[in-house]
Amino acid sequence: MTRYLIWRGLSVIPTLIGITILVFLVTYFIPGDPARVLAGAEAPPEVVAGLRHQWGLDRPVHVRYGFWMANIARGNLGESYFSHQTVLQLVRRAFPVTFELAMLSLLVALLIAVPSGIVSAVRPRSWFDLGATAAGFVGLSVPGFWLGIMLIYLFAVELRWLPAGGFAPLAGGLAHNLRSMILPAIALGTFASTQLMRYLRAGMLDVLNADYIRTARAKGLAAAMVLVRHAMRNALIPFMTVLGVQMGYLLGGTVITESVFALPGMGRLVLNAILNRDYQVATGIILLIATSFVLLNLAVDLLYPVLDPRVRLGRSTGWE
Amino acid sequence: MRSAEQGVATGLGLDGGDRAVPRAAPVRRARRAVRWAVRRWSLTLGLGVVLVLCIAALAAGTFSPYAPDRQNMAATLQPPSRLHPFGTDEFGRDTLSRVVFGARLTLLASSAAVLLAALAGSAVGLTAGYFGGAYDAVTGRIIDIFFAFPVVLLGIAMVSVLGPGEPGVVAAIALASLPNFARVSRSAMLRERELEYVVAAHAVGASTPYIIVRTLLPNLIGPLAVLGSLGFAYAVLYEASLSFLGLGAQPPTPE
Repeated sequence: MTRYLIWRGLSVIPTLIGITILVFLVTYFIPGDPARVLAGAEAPPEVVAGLRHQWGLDRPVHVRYGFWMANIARGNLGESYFSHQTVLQLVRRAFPVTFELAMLSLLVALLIAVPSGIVSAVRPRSWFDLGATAAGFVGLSVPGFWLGIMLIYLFAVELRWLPAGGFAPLAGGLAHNLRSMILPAIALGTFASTQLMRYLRAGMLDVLNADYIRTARAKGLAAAMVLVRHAMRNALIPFMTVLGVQMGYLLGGTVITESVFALPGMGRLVLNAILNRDYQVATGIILLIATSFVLLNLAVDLLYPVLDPRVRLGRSTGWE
Repeated sequence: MRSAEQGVATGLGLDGGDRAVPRAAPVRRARRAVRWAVRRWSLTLGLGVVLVLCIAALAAGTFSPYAPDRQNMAATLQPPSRLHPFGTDEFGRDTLSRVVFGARLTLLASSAAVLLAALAGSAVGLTAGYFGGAYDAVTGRIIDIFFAFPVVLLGIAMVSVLGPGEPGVVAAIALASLPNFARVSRSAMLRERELEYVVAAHAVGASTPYIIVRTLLPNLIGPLAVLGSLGFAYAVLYEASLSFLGLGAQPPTPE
């Protein structure tokens, strides 16, 4: 057990290094010379060359990667060309918004997926199951931004129940804050819920046909007890894997949702950075998001042996 | 489909009509074909929608009533009407024409991305599964890295290198779909390479590339094809999302 935890923990190190290399290569291949950009078009070549030397841009690739990594290790992810705030300052303000959005979306996704997935599995081919399947297909086929726009149109423009966009910070009161987050969370959570529901239904169906469930029922256990204590526990294992992956998609999906609803989160930060060619901010945030995705999946993997002691605690090759 | 056409043609008596029994058979076959299609209504429906979209996209010029970029400031933001079945946008451009031309670009970009991902991904996965060992471990890690980037982020990274436009979008979707192809083809290869016909191929002296491509690949194409169709559906969605964010085709190109 301990060996598994240690081994799995260490196994993310090469992945994280690979991510830094990839992100560095992106910064390296970005067209345009940051020294020239900052010095201005009319700057004499000596000034540009001086800046290039000062920033180490005239060194070979691996040396520049070393500098870059050393900066990151010191917590220096670079600063914005425009506002001259450091990436960490920007992130500190944007992260809570994205985190809240991701968590609320996850909540929405689970609130939709868990009950409907279970009912679909308990009563397969019933009207409810067929309806949920159909709704799931629609939910999968609809682009997230379209659903967001439709929600804005219905609830903000026509019914005027909720704000169309913008963020109300938690400091201004919980009710205000939640009002600004409901529609984005529904827009983002619905998409994630469709896949979660399908996986939970399939997992539950598998388990419900197993012999031990029949035994539990034959013993006269209450139906709800069999479902929750016996079936759910085993159905949760494949579900957790999908959940981990879905959390990653939620992180990516926040980019779209935040730009639909004008929320000042990480997604909008990175998108605006790219559109303004503020590349240090963009690559810094890409690095942060990719790293958190890897750590999230690590957390899910470390949870397996807790959920299922039978999990093979061997070395992983990274393929799985 | 062909039997249905034949059935209709012969059912009208075009084959003479003096031989009663052979004439009835095609009719029955046609009915059976229709019943087959009705029973598999989800397949028929899906295939129909895809066909309509593909035809509309391929023959965009014939189907669109207007040029996709033609502006008509006298008729902006119109609701659907007989002149403009889908209405017009804020520049008075015909929405139907833009949808049809946009479908062409979207379908092209999505299929290019899926094709690239399938080729590169299965090449990595098949060789990793076949050779195993250190090569397998290293490629596994690399695939893991790409798996760690949500598509939108890959899109943003690609666009920052290649600049906004379809090439960046195609590259991002291809890179994001690649891990799935690699994983599926690798696990299929692990299962398949132990089977006797592969051993037999070895015994008769077939070369390794020959065994992978000609002996094994045909037996692994099934799961890859399923993944391809799923991947295509996602590719269309991703393309739409990246374009929505302003990373895809730049105005006034319709997409």
